[in-house]
Amino acid sequence: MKRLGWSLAFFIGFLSLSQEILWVRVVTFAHQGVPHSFALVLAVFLFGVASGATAGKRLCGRWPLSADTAVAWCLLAGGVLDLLVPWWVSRVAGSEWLSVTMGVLIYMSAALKAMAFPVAHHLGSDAGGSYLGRSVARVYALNIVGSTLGALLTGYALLDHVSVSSGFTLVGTATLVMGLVSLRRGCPRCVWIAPAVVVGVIATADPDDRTLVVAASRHAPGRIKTIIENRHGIIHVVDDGAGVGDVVYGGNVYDGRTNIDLRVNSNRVDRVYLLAALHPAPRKVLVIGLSTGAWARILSTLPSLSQMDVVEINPGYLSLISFYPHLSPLLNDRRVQVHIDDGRRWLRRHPEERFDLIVMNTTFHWRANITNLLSREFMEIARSRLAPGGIFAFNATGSADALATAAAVFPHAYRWSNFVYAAEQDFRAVPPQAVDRLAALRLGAEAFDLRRSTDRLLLNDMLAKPFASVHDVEIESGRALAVITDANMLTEFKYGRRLRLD
Amino acid sequence: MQETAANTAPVSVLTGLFFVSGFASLVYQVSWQRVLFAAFGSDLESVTIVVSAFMLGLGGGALCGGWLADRLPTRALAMFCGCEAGIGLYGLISFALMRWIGDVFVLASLPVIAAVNFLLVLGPALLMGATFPILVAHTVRQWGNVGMATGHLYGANTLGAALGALSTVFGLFHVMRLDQSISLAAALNFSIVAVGFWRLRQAR
Repeated sequence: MKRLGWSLAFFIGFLSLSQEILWVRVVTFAHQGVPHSFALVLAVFLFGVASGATAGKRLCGRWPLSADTAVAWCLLAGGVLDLLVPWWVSRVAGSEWLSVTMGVLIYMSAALKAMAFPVAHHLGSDAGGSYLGRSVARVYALNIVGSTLGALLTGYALLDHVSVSSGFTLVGTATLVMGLVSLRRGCPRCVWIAPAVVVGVIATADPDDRTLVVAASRHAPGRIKTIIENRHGIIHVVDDGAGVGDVVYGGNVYDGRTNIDLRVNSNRVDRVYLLAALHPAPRKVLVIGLSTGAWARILSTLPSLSQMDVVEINPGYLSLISFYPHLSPLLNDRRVQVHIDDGRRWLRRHPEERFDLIVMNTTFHWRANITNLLSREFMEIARSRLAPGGIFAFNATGSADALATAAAVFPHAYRWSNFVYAAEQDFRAVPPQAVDRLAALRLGAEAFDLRRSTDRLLLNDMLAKPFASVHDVEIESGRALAVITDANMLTEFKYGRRLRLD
Repeated sequence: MQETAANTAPVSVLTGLFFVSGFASLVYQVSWQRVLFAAFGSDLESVTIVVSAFMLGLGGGALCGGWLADRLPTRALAMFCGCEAGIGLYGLISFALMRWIGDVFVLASLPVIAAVNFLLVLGPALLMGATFPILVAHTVRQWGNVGMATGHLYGANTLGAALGALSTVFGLFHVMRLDQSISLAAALNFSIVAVGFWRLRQAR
């Protein structure tokens, strides 16, 4: 009986944490990476665990009324529930019931597994002996070892090889197996259920392993062309039929389009073309966040460029870029080095590097952990890595506080469109030869021809757009702007986006 | 006399204190993750290291707590308070310590950074993990049923943890800074210690 208790403790921990990791992936994706989503999953999961533990306590109070058999049935129910997750979520996709349904499924699944926790301790501990404390601790430690392995194997290994939908199928199947093992010991005559369970697994197994991503995705009208799932996240690409570049979503949030043509400008690439006008001859460029690769591809056409470092946290974007002939030359450009790393960490770990341009087409200011790239602490690092005359440019995605933060760190920081450009020097007076610099970009088919009036007009119009100062933006926003710090995480919480349960 | 008092510390009081302990633990977990991500990176590797260290700390602490529970079976409340005091003290210095360590080791090799990350959360996690078997063993001696004691205390602690996670991101982070949230969790630990020692004095 002790061995059953130990096994239960280990596998319950393993399966519960595996399930939690999968749910964090799905809910974070469905809620577009708002910082509340992780804690929400954790809380609902823990509420489920608390309820399951309390129910398990009652089972143990009725001992020896076959608590292990009751637990076996709970595990079987939990396994079936896990198997049904993709089906269930796809049924309520796009409705106001999606979040509630996911919450109920997380709660139920955690509770059904957690009922086994007290029972495992009951079976695996030595209640009357002088080893009581140690015997309880042994069972608990086994549960934690299982939990750790579950988190590691599922989060680190499994999700790099299978989709999140298939992950639920695997965890559900493993829970069913654990339930059957327990049932065989507690109620041998009930083993007839095994064939029914096998049939159930086959019947509910999701034939399309993209079901959950498709169900929880939010995107412009159009057809999902590509889904890339790995342990770092989920990327999906939509063809909206507009013919102005595919739309790329990272973690279910708009990441950009694959367009690099300023004449099309469907992804506001004017904000990166502007850099070619603001800096006379950038040699070394750092791009934090590769995404579609469109921005890095445009920067790679700078004739003065000798080295470009690109830091991207998700290697899935490299596969994506290889699908697009107009972007893929970036991957073979000897001047371009792509580093798979956290942008802030990479910059901190390269204190000797100095760049003429540091460019971040950052994700939305309300997403989890974006503070690490928008805070005063980060901008101070960025400032220290600029070469004389260098410019730091980033996407503030509408956050006025991001501009205020840049203005608190740099002597000159201004907004142009939704981008912030910051430097030691005032760079706003664009010289007349800036148009020639833009015309000199090695864009191939998309190159500008100043003999064409349309191209001349396009470039002059772009360069004529004014910059806004922090004072202008403060008046526009109607409140006193604040500096974002690592500790206040302003854009994620106080001024962040609320969690929408619809 | 003191032994008798500690041995009969009411389960209801311990349950309440363990609930608050769970609440504080999740405030720490959510907050420390943020501090460590800023200091060492927020990629999957960092997440994995922090989560693993936290979990293994809990497991190692549980084994130590189980051993202590057998060695000092009549000192459950005092040991629990000792663990909470240790967590609180670490909590008070943790924000500054993690940032300082992050600066010191920024250029170290990734295995060294992983080890440092690991050590930064291991200590408090050990203390958190130790509290569970100490309290369960104590309660089993009163109730005579391991499963009931485990379910009861784990349920209370986990419920507190769930509310702690929710309160941190839906409340605390909206009105206070990370370091202030961590200090609040430390204050909760010290409140547990105060109530615990008050009960011990009363029982004498």
